[in-house]
Amino acid sequence: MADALTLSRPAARDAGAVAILGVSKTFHVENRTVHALDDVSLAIASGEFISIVGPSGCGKSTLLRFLAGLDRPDGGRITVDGEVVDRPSLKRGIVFQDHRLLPWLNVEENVALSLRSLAGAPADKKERVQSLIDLVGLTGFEKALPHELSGGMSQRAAIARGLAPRPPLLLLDEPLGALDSLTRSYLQDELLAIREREKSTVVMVTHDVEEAIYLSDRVVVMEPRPGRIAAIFDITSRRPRHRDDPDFVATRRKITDLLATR
Amino acid sequence: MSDVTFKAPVIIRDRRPQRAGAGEGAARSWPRPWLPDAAARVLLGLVPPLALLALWSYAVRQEWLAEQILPAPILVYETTLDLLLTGQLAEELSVSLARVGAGLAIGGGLGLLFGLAFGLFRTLDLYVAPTVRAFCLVPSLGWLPFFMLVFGIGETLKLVLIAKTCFLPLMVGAYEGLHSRPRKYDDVASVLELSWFSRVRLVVWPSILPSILTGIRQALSRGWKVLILVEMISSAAGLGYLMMWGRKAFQLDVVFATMIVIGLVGWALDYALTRFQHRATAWSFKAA
Repeated sequence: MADALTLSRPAARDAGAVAILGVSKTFHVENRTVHALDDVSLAIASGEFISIVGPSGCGKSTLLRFLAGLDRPDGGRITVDGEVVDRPSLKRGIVFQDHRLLPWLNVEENVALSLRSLAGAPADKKERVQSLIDLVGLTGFEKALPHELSGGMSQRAAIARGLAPRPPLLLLDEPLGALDSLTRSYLQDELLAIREREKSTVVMVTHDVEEAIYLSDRVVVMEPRPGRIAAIFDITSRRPRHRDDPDFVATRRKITDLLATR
Repeated sequence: MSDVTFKAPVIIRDRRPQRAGAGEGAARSWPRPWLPDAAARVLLGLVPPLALLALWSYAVRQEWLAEQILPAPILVYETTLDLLLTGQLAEELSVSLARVGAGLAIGGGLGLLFGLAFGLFRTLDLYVAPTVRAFCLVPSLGWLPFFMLVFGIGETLKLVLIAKTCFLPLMVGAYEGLHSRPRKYDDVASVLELSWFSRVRLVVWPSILPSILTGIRQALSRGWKVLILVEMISSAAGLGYLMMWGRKAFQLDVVFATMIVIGLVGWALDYALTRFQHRATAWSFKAA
């Protein structure tokens, strides 16, 4: 399936539409059954930016792993552009919470790793790797090994790796969670710019309600035991948004109140 | 959304120093001016052997031991020089190095294969590995009487014994490497749709390499010691033979010269491998 992707910009503008239908997952921990996800359904339009917030244990990371194809649900099904997700694919890029750069490869090699299975001339790939390194602000650190980078720099390299194959669907598992607030707000703007350019669908799991409202078209609030969708908030205000807008503050209040009662 | 503009890399570069923090300093400072540092370390490292030499000279001068048992350092030095100049030392050393090299290649290679097989196939690990480990835990010298009867006392015996000694460290190294390797990178390999070959070469192999290199270091130092022992028992060449010859001729200066050479060469081999390990798998000494 890797050949379906190319180095050029995605031709189909309406790629990356997700349908999650009645997805369930139970874990068995010490003779107890834990419903990590219970009949979760959600439709995500192509090009939408979705954030999932919720307390730990609500199954939001599990759901993201299902979307990536890394794990499979017990019940229900997930399709992306009509195709059932049954294994990982370069069409669904994921950025993990811990950067997961291979420690024995330098920044350049780590980013290039995601283009290995794609068709294309080596020169084109090299150019793409360099442009992504420039994009995330790591110019001059191409040959640095991950242990020589700060946490923020590593995470930026991981984002470059996730973006390199131009996936129509980008999955982010608390990608900015470990960063300082300055790097964080800078990368938030960067994410929006990238999304605008690539027209990709983005699904982001986060703990940060403010970040979710700032970035998303819709914020999905989940509740734990069993993991379910509690509410979905449409964020319609124009970007760039300001964290002190009355709309913004009101929505944040509603979401934090909802989370506090769960 | 149209009012979102893409930031130029120039701006990013301007902002970087404030955000990158300590990590940036670490990345920049890696070509350290470490020459004076290294010189100091070499000097410090020379203190204990020089002190030992002084004690030795003092002991000889005070005649704590008979001259035939504890030869004077200067005599040992002259003997070493003599052995060097006649070419005998180089000859015996090359015989010994060739033996340890061959033994390491055979035993270590087999150990690596077995370790990888046990690490990859659970059935083999369950049913075969305990027997292999038990065999290995009988010390090399314990096998010697049996091996002597089977292989004679020729070249085969030495090879078998060194190979047997080198087998376990590499088997354990490869096995532990596979068992303790970080699984989280498998997700990355899956998501990036790496081929089986790329996965092994770029994700699995580098992650177990540090453990294998540690195995090679242990195999080499153990193999070196066993080699000298077996050369002392049955050989007509090699450093162990030279030492045995010195003992039989009651030339303790030769024995001492050989001891020093054995120690120095063993140390140099281990040092070279350690340096290589630090260069080849630098990340494993730093990464969390």
